[in-house]
Amino acid sequence: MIRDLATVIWKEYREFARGAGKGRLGTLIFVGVFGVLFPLQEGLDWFTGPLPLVYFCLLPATMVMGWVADSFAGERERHTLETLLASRLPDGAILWGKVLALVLYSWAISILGLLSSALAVNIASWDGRVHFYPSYILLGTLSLSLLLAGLTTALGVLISLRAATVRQAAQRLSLGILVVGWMPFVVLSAFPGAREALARWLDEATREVGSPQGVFIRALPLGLLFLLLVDGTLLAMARARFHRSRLILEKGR
Amino acid sequence: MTEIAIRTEGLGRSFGELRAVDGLTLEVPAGVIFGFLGPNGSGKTTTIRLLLGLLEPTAGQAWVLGHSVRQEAWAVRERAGALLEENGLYERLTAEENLEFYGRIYRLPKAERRARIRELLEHFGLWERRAEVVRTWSRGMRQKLALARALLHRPRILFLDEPTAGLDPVAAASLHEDLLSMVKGEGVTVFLTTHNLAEAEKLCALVGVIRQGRLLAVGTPEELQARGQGTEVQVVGSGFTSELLAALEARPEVLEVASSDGGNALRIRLQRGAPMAPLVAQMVQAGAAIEEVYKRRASLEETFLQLVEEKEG
Repeated sequence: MIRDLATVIWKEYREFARGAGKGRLGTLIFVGVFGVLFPLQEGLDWFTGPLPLVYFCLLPATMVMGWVADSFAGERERHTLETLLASRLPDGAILWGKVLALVLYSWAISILGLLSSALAVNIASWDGRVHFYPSYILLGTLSLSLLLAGLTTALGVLISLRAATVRQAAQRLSLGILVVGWMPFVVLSAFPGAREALARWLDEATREVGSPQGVFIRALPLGLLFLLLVDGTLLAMARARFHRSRLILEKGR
Repeated sequence: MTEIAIRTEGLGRSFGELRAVDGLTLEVPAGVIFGFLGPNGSGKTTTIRLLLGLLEPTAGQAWVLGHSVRQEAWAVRERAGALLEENGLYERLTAEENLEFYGRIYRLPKAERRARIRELLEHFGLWERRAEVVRTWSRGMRQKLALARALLHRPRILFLDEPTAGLDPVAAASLHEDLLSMVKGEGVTVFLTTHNLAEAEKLCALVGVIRQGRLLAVGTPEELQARGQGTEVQVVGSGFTSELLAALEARPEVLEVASSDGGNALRIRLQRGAPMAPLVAQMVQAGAAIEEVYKRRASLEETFLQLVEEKEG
């Protein structure tokens, strides 16, 4: 199975690398802007502020949106899906190979951004010692970026499995991300009681632990668990949906 | 005993009310090119999908290389190569990368993979262009590459779904030659669907005719031609009056008489096995001058059309 996964990942990266250079260029621009330029403007505050979390959790997950939309809808649109399904590759290897390729790429960008920004800031603000992220930022970014990449990928693969074209998949995914992203705010505004309870909890937690960082540390496991559940549910749905005869018969809807 | 590569028993697949494949019972011996003939929408592609385990049968059973397509579809796909309706090539990848991907899928060791890719690309005359992305290639070159991909892992059986559709005659002839030489060299069984009768006649040792999901006939092209209705006789000469034509048409063994070449030739369709000599004698007695008489066997195309029309009737 691992060898089959590696084969699918190899193909995905070859196609990505040959995608008219757009993918590589996008990665370079991202790392240049968010992994060097913006951190340099922050100086040593970069390491303790919330920006690494924002940049390297959310943005890499959104960067794979185009690619994830292409995962199955692209194979269907370019008429390569049936031949792939007619090969000896097991269902799981095709599905998980594509998922892993996307998640690992997104996660690698996060790690690259964390490292490049740390290097750039250390060089620009060198004071005789090496500065690095506090552990809650580092672990928070690494774990959240992985699970957020998983969320985008799982949602995208689920949509892409059902879409006839890449464009249709991309549109549906954008809408899906918008719905998922805005869902907490909609829920909070629809239920004033929940909003008040959250505010109370934040207030108490801040008072108790003494800082917003402390609240983040306290809330992180809960957030990770929630993301893990959502990712797992979406991936289980994608796996249940991935069936050779269904993929052959459905031309996308 | 002849080894059987494909065996189906009452194989069927319905889509709602539509029976795309209906009670297909068939045996294809190993090592031959089997042509599966039928008009568009007759169930050829669905049959291939059933045999590859890409669709589940709604009736009957099929075995490919001894493996049930219901229970061991993975084993069938492991041993089969396929060139389906679409060539399935990754157009953003180079020719070599396309083969490399499928070589990895079939777990060919690195050295063997490299050697096999080179062997196939050289055989198909594509080695010099291996580093080009496939998007820029002609349809004929892509079909050759797709055929190379299907043969890459030395499959024991090859499914080809209308491999020359859309190719110009030169590219199609070239693909035929490549296919014949590869099949001869590698000894694979080929299940080839086509509605190109000339292609089937040239390539296939055995053919089956399918229409509306039902198998109408199976046999060698010669056997099928022999099953065709009647024999066509061409008579060249003069003095073929309308009275003579009417008299010939009145004979019980004559199915059809038609005059051509400005009245200097006749085309007579006789019942199978009927002698021609009495007709020649009658024509001479009626004053016709006969220069040439020759019998022509019905082509596979004519037989195919007859079979399809019979079914329609």
